[in-house]
Amino acid sequence: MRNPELSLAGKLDNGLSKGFSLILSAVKTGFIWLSGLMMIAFLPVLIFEYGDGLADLSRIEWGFMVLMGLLVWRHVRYCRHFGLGFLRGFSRLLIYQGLLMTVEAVVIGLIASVLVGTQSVDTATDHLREFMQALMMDDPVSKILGFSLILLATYLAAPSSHRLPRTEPATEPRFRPEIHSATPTTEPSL
Amino acid sequence: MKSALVCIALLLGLALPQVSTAADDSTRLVQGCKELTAIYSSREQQRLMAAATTSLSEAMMAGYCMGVVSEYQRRSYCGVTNWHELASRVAELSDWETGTDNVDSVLGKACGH
Repeated sequence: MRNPELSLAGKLDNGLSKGFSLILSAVKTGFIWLSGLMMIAFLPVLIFEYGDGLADLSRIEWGFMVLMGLLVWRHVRYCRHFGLGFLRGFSRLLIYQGLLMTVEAVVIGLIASVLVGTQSVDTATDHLREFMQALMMDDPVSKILGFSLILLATYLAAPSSHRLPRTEPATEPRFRPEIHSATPTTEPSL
Repeated sequence: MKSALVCIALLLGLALPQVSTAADDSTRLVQGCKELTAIYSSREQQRLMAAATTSLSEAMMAGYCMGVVSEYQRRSYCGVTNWHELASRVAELSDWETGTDNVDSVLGKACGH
């Protein structure tokens, strides 16, 4: 049964909600994309923080740079293999880094709100201050965790076959009647 | 190929040291104390994996802080006798609190003078 056509007010309302959804979707993608761009842009500043060249690199940072180089090479290789252009490939990288940044911000916010919500004001303030100091003081474990998460996001950003849109196969019958014939089939075997 | 060469040149440019580092002494002290407290969890104990995550520059900054703090404790009166405690207090000072102070003023603030 076909739905009756919407009234003019209904059409306007529907168009408005669709427009807002599109705008919100664009804002969301733009925010994540910019977060990813910010993360990638600040990475060299984080690693070479004192501008002392190679003296700024710790063992973990050396390892991170080597692994990051390999993962970027892998990303470029897969993008070429699956036919993604430069922009789409780069965009995937930024979106995954942006998602990571957003998730990190949410987790930090949740931990802070749990600290504030479950304790008395004085204890919560002390614990919150300690937590923020641990984040700001570049605790070695949090540094390693941060680098590992960036590497993981870069690893996941590479395109894989099942995520790409598939082309529709040529129209085939839903099931093929079995034909018993003496002549061999010419279809290529998979 | 050309873009790859540009990328490599940019990365090598990052690896070169800067011509000048114009951080004044008090800012350097606060930054050094932050590095020191990132390496040491207490006066005698280093943090887990600190050796792997500390670069030569960070170690030198931390050493600068430790030297300045120890020397200040030796020659001036400060209620805090533990160098790690004093370094932590310095590290907690914000840029707004240190402002244009010199090293002695910053250490005095950390001591509670």
